[in-house]
Order: sequence, then structure tokens, then C-alpha cells
Amino acid sequence: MRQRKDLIEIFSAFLQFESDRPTLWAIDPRLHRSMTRAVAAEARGSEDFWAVYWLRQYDKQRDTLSPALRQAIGHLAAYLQETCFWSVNRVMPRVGSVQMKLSDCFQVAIADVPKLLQAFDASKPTGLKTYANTVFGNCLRDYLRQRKEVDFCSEWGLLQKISRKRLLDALTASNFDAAMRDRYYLAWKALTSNHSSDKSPKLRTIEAPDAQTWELIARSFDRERKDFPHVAAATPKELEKWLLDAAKKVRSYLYPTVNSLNVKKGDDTEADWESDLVGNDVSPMEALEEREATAERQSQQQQMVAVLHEAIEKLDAPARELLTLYYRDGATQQHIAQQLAIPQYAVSRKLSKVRQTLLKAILEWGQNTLHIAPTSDVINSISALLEEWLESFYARTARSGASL
Amino acid sequence: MNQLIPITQLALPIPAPMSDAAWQQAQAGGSIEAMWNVYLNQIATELLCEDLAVDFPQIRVWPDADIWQFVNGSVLELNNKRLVLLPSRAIDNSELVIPQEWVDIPAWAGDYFLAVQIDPDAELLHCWGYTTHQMLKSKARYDAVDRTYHLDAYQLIADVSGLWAIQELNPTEVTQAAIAPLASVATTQAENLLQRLATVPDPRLEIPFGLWGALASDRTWRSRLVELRQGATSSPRTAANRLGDWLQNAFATGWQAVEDFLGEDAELAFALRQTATATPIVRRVKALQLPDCLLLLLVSVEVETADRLSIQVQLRADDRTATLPAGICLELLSSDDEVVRSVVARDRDNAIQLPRFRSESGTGFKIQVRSGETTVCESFLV
Repeated sequence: MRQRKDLIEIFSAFLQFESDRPTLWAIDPRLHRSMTRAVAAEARGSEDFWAVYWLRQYDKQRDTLSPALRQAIGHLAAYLQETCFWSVNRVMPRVGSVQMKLSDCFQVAIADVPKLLQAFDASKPTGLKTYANTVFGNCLRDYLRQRKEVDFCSEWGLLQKISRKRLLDALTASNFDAAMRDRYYLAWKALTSNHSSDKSPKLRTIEAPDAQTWELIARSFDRERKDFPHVAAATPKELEKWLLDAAKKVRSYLYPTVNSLNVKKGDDTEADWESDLVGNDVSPMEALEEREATAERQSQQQQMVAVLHEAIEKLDAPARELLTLYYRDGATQQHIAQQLAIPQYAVSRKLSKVRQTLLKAILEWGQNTLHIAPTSDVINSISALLEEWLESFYARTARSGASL
Repeated sequence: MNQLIPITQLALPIPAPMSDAAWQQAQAGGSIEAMWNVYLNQIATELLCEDLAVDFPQIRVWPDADIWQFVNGSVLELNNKRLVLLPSRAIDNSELVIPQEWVDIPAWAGDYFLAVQIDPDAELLHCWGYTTHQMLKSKARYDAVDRTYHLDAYQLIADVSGLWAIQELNPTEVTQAAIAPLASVATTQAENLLQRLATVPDPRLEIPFGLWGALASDRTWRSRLVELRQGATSSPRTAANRLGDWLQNAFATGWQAVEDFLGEDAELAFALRQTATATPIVRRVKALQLPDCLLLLLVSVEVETADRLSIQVQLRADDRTATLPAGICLELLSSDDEVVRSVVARDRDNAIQLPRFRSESGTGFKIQVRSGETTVCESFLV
């Protein structure tokens, strides 16, 4: 995969895969035009500058559903392509045998860009790429974990193991209208209030409800639908049909389609994008501000790096070995467990504890040097910074053959 | 499976005995929702308290398990902060659902809220995010129908180890937004409300939140409500007689020693089918009131092996000279209500009995007496 260098390409091209390998960059024409226009208005902007710029545009349009919002998201999704790729690439070998292609994993992760942007706090010192790096990794892990569990489940088990939100999201994705959604939702609610096994909490292969339970389910459904005037009565047979269908929809919700975040054709017309001109109003002051902010960030990061070096020096040898195995060698937890002759869950606990020590070191430095109290609202940012640094630091030691 | 959990989050295996014990405890719950609340919260509190006590020996659990009859959520106390655990069996981690009780009742309001996924199949507990009261109030979506706050996974702090780091570095961080006090409730009004809530399907949604909050957060009122609701749903007739308790000499009301009824003829009663045995036999008798007569049900229980009991059931008239009404029927039913054995009184029988039968530990059966239109039933659990 070629790393993009051209500014316009960085904010308008998307990674294409062939036989599960990244091949070339496909340019989205509208984003290309928009970026070209923007750069023409402000030629001195760096990559960082434009990232901040499009984030600001995103923020302005945040609660609207305008083409301008989609434009900002599009530029930022393009910007994050490499980050997503490397993040996915890093996670995949760790999770052992995965029946999923790299390209599909990539699509799953990149599809979360809109949510990621919504949660990203631009006021914190961590840049978008750093934050996204952690988020993509977590997103993919979570997705794979779910799929694995879902594959073990029967239809009735699956319905018992999902949240209400997951059910509704899956039904919405299947293009159900509100009436259908309500019907299915009430059926599910009636099912989960009345169907259980008294023998064991295990749910994967729970038996289908028996006749007596279906009666209870139908009665519950009938009671609940009084708050939903457009929902008609239903027989147990109908409820069963809906529920089995709902389970199918939930299952297929986890199987990615080609429709990823990459610009949806047909949603916006050329005219919409032409008229909602964003990118023509860049002011020279903004570029200057950004350069200063970047410089300050870089200086802080250098200090933080020094703090981390020191913190790692202070760790005992087993802790350092653990970090090396995990970050430099990319070893799976299973492998580490075998290597160190401890149970696997103990590996993740130890790694977590070591990482926590480093996190505390940064937080303490922030408190003493920058006078920023360690509070919960900085954790996401600091954690992402730490993760990125650990990955790049150990990658460097791998290349140089050094060990710590 | 553990590899798929980032090291920034907490994953703990659930020991099988803990799961079994929690499940047993959960069976005493009312609704299925309450059952799951008990199971999930019991495991969450026990496992997390044990794990966190290593680094934070001062951690404490709120002991009030009856809360789970009404609402999900449990509390660990640490450094004068309330950590509200919100366990769920959902595997998707799409959102964190927080009942309003943990946010807007001053006596309960949490400082931190921890999203806990519990998978009874994978036998794993997974903390996948946390938030503070302040963050919740500013970002969460409130559902007025269910009275719950909802946070998308992305809105939580994904690095759970950060929570522990902060407990060490800054345990007094400001976590709570302002909480309006609840209006106090007079005792008479409370009693009226409790009576009303005794029979409704979902008490927490029935009355205005302010009133509900005041009732639920008061220990006395809450346990009164639990009592009222249990009384409303179970009837003494249908509660099963636990024969295991009989062997420990504990009997539900109504079951008396045979000697009290039949005097020296107690021995006579069981002479009908005698078995020479050295092991102790427990015999009890209960009076059954039918519309036109009083009958005695005699149950004799003998231990055959550690898991098996030998049982004999006899029905007789209350007066040793009287005869049973002709046509009266004594039946043994399986736990699925299938008639397994049946015996009918003929003219001038003063007692009828079922053939001695064996039952394994954990099985249930019923003894039914039918006379014309009337049926009287006693449930048993071995």
C-alpha cells in the first residue's frame, strides 16, 4: 500500500482492496473538487491544519443533516484511511484464526467514523489520528468478539443475548418502517419477559418456548400493545414468525455489506455540494493559529515521551518483557501465556496493570508540569496517546533490533 | 475469547460455583426480569469486589439485594464515591442503559457508572467502559417511557484502567452534577402507595418518579413492598413442600406428627404396607378440608440413598371408624401434571393408599385428591 503524500489525495482518496490486499487509492471526485478549491484558497496549510479545519466544519454542522456535514465527514474518513488500515492490520494477527478478510475488517472499522467523530473531543491535546487509532482497534475487536459469540447461538439464544438497541438498529438497517419495528420490538419484549430456562443461565442453545410459554408471550404482547395503537393483535404463530425473522435480521446485521462509509452516491446532488461551499472561507489567521498549536503539541509530546521512557526504565524486568512481547513482537495473549506459563486471563491483567502504571506516570506529569488535574474526562485522550506511543516505540525497537 | 478484549478493559472469568450459587439465588426472584437482575448483579458485585479489594482493600458492597426486584444496578463504595455497576447479558455493548434511580435519587446517585457485560455461556465478566455522573447528565439521552438514561458506547470512557488510576491519583475528583432533592413522603401516603404498587406489573413506572424514588430508597418501605408483592403472587396452597426440609425436621404449617391424629393407631395406619427398615422414617399428616368432609393425608418419607427417597401416601377419613366417601380419588402427578398413579376408594374403605414410590433429589411431584367437582392438591419437592 502506497502511503499518500499529496494533500488533496489525503483528504479525498479511499483505499481499495483486491484479493484481500490493499491495491490502489480511488479518488472521490466531489471530495477532490472540494479539497482542490480549499487548498487554492489557503496554500500554506499542512496536513494537520486541514484535519483541524475539517473538524471545525464538522463541529459547525454537527447537529444538522446537511450535505456540508457529509462533506466534512467524507474528508475526514479519507484522511483516516491509513490509520484505519494499520490499526486493523495490527489487531488481526493477535486474534488468532479469524474467518474474516482484511478488507472486510477494514470496512467494519471505517464504518464507525461518523460515531468516532461525534465522540471526539477536539479540545483535548490528542489529535484525531491518535484517537482514531485506538478506537478502530477496539471497534474491530468488539465486532469480532460479537460475531464469534453469535455464531454459537441458536435463534432463541441470540434473541436473549442482544440489547434492545441492537434489535432496533438491525431492524432499521433492514428498512423496516416504524410500524413493523414496533411489532417486532413488542414481540421481543414479550418473549424476554416470559421465556427463560430455570435449569441454567446459559443461553446459547436455549430451547424454543413451549406451548404454555407461547400463551404467556401472546398475553404479554396483547397487554403491551395497548400503548401502541397501530399494532394489531397477533397469534402465537405470528409472533414466532416475527421473532425468528428478527433473529435473522440481527444475525445479518453483523455481516458487512459493500456499503461502507465511502461516499454514498445519489444522496447529494452536484448542485448541493456546489452551493454549500465549504473550503472557500479559510482565513490566514487560522493557518497561523494551527501552526502554533501544532508546535506546542509537539513540544508537549516530546516531554511526555521523556516521562514515558523514564517510567518504563522503572518497571521491573518481567513487566518490560511483557510489554516487549506484546508491543514489539505482536504476540497473542495465548502465546505470552504459554511463554510465561501463566493462565491467559492473567496475561491481560498483568498487561493492564503495567499499562496503568504508565498511564499514571503521564497523568502525574500532567498534574505537576502542566497543572492539569487527572480527571476522567482526559482519560480517553491520554490513553490513546499512550497506546500510539507504545506501538511506535516498540516498532522502532523491533526495527533497530534493540530490546529493552 | 479474551484476546478480543482490549487490555485497557477488565475481563474476569466467572467461577462455575459462583454462577451456580447466583443462579440458585435468582430463582427466588419474582419476574424473569428480577431473576436476571439478581443473577447478574450478584456476580458483578461479588467478582468485582473480590478483584478490586486487592488494590483497594477499603472497597465495600451495598448489601441491599432486594433492590434487584425492581431495578438493575448495584453499588460498590470506594473513597466515599459510589461506583454503580450496570451488568447486562447483552453481548453487543451498543449502549449503556442507566435506570433513573441511580442518577436522580440523591441517596443513590452514583459518582461513576461502570458498564459490565456478563456472558454466562463464555463464563466471562467484561467491563467495557465507564462514565461519571456529570458526563452522563450532559451527554446521555433520557427515555421518559422507561425512565432510563442511555449512552452510546462511543460516549463512554473506554479505558477502564483509567478509573483505577484516578482512584489512586485523584480520588476526590468532582464527579457529580447537581441533584435536586426529592420531596419527602408522609407515612400514610407511603402506605397507600405501597398497597397500590403491590399488584401492578411494573411498580417503578406506575407513580411519578419523585414518589417512587422516595419509596424505593427507604429500606423499610422497600422491603415492605417486596413483602406485599410476594404475598400477592404466591398462595400457600401452591408453595411446594420441601421433603429435604422434612428430613431436617422442618415442616410447613399444617403438617403434624401422625401420633397427634391417630394415637396408637399410627402404627396401624402403616401396617397396610409394612416394610422392615432400620432407617428412620419421617411421617406427617395434614388435614384436608373438602366441602363435605375432613380427610387426612398421610405422607411417609424414607431415605433410600443420598439422592433418593422412598415415599408412601395414604388418605384416610379423620375418624378411625369413619369410611372415605366412595369414589374419592387419590392421585400421584408428575411435575408436568401427568397422572402417574391413581387409586379410588370403594364403599366402606376407611383408607386408600398409593403404591410406595421412589423419587430423586430435585424432582417435584403432586398429590391430588379428587372428590366429585372438588380437587385438592399438594405439591412436593424432593
